[in-house]
Amino acid sequence: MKNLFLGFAFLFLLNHFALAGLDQKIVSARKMVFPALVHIQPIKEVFASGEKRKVQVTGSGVIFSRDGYVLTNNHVAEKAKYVRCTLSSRQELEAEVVGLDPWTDLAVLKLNLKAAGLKSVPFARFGNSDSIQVGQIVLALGSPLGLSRSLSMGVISSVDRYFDDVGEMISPFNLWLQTDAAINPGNSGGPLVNLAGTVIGINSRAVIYGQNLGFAIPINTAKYVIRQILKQGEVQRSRIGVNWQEIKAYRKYKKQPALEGVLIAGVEKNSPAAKAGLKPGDLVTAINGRPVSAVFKEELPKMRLLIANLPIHSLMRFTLLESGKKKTVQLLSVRQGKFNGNEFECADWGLSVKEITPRIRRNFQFKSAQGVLVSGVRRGSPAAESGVRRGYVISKIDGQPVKDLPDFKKKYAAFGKNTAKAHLLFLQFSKRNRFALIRGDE
Amino acid sequence: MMKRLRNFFISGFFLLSALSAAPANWQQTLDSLRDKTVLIEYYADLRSRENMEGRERVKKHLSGFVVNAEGLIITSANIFPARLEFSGGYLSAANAQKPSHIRVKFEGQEYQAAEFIGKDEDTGLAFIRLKKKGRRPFLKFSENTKPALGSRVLIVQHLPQNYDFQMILRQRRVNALLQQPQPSFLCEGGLVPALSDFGLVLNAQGRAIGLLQSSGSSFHPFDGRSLARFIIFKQFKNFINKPPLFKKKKTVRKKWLGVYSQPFTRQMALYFKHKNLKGILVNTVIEESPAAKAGLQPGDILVALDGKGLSAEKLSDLDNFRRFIREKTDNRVQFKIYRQGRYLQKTVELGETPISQFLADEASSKRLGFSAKELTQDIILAKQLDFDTQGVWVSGVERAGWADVAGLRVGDLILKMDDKNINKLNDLKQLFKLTEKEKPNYISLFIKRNSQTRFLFVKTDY
Repeated sequence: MKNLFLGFAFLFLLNHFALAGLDQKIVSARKMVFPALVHIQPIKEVFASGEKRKVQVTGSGVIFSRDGYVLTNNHVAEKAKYVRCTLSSRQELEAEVVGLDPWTDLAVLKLNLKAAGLKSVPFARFGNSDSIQVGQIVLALGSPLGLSRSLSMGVISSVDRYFDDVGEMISPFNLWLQTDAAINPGNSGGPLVNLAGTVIGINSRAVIYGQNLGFAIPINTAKYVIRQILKQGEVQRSRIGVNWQEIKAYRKYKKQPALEGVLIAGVEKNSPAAKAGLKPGDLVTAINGRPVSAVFKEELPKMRLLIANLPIHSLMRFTLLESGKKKTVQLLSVRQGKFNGNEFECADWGLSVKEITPRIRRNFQFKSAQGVLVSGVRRGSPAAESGVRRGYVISKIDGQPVKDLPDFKKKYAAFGKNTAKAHLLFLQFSKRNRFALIRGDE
Repeated sequence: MMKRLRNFFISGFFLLSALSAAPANWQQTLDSLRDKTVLIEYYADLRSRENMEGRERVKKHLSGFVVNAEGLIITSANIFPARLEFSGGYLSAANAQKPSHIRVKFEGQEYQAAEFIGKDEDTGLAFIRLKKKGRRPFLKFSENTKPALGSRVLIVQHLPQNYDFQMILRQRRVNALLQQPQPSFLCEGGLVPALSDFGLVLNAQGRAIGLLQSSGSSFHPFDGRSLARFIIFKQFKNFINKPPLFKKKKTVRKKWLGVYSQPFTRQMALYFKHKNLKGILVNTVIEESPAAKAGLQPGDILVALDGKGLSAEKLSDLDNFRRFIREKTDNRVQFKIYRQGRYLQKTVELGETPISQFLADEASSKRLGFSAKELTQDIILAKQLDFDTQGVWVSGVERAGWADVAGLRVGDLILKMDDKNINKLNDLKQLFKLTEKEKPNYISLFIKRNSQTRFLFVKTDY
């Protein structure tokens, strides 16, 4: 009995010391990153109900260089016209957007140090997210629900969480770090830090109806994005027009449990892949002589990155099995199109239009990229009264085809301030068209 | 001589009483209807897209009225809510099944068996018939009554189950006369909860003149709670002589032109600098439709049909045009068209309205746990597919079946199974058979969902 008691006491002591150690580690890890933490309040210009409107949002970010470059989320910085940043010292500065990458949801800002009379700012160091292990203790810094300079703690719950794309929420190149450290709206763009005090991820998503389910973009993904943005203001990616599929079930179907490769699930019309003759059902086993394989869907981002990170117009050699026969196919990659198109407000008519990017065209299954997409209609406006609705494509004005957004702008501008004349729009929605007469003042 | 004189007097007396238009005695009116009014009991299948067995069903009731001596009964088309003809777009009650185990009951009598005959989707009426042969009393509608605004009408319905389905009589007034989608009359619906929104309409003298329309079944859904709408005999008279017959795919369908149109407004006429131009503006011509074959184009203004001027200022005006085409007996119509400053004549050979997904053939595999249907016009339009798209679409996926586990979803387009193209439903049926024979451990499906294709590998349990 006595022995047992001693045993407990010993455990308790050990525990106490261990905790005291952890306490210290957390405090010192925070100290290393905290000075580089940024509270970001961009004023965005968004198009809503056919009008340009301003909104202010709150996010977080982390300074990663002495001269004031800040890493944050694309969804924090996109569409920002003015970015107000507050450092952890509570000094307020302006920042400009250097580059955005919606495909990874990352963005780089540059603090205007000169205007604030600063020569340099404290910055955080990046760790290596590839060596992170499940169970490691991590800290999340940021402004949850706008509560700036907050810290929360948890462990890494998973290092290879994969999400399929859902609408605008896409992450084709990411495997996410999952943590049970509290992540709330406002944490977006803030750093996830290990006990060594280095940044290992950028907190970006949380499951709202779950508890303690936060997700961070691994910092190694960010390192590549930062390099590209600092070099050319954007991330340029190669594209070949293939949708990849993991082969876990395909192996069972083929009764070849050791099969390696990646299955082609879809090939876009007129893409380099289609022109080169790649077909759904082909199994790609090597690219440029290097074996490739994705048995599980967690291996797909790696596969996509392999192609995306090649220079645009790279010559690529695919080794594939087509109905069991080995075959080689060569093709040149093309540049990946814009994620979001430009938007334009027609104040007189009361509507806003968006350019039809390849992505929009694919998602909406438009037959052509001609015309402009109505992104909003102001209530009670001439456009609304004529029957124009959000989601319609304007393909003709007064009988003249609308090629694209610049063409639309030109035509719209030509009407000038002359609001006396009526205009007949030819609209397409789904497989149905309609005419809308925007009345003039006459 | 005397006898003949007496007869004359008697008939004269009756004539007089009719002319004096004495208000109906409610008790007598109701009593006179008891042998012509039935309570219909039937089962509606609750076939869900996740349960391919379809064992669940629910008992429902409606009012019906005997309209000929052979026991033909008129009731609401809600008895069979599936829309059989293509109308462009997804349909809610698309999976509804034909009503089964129909029984009817005259007040105070036992239930007797009846069968489903058919329905008309424009008027929202359906017909059933007593199975037992024999002549019986039936309801005679007054031929030429057209109620005036403000005139009194009596409405005959059943009360719901908790009132033992008793017959109920209510007096209402005609509050409005509507022209679209067909001439109809509005009166206050009232707060008494009747068995359904279907019922018989009598004039103030107690003679049958029309039928209440169900709110859900016409092309213009109607708020049945605060207002009721009825149509008069003239509009369904033909059906009593020749009821619509439901024969699955062979059901006679109405005429079809194959365009979507919109009103050609006065502002549009001014825009085209043609102040007096009236017509209907065609905005969409469905590929391969009769209109497309005749060379109609988006932007055409239909100004005359068979020599009669067309005009539509507002949306509801299009209903006349639509109804005219649908009800046409011969196929040929002649349009006068205004196209880019010129008048043209076009002759169109109307076709029959394409079937909806409901009438499409279906193939299912219990083992794989899914069913698929041939592509119909409504699905092609709803899914924005090309007109000549080949393939079949998934109409049901058994919950937690192997197809469900593999990720198949209702609405997916099946392009291939085990590397073999599926162009027609028959291709799939053949492959289902082959699967039963060869008993593979897995089958592969190449599917299209929205804009993307992918492979699914479905386990079997052979």
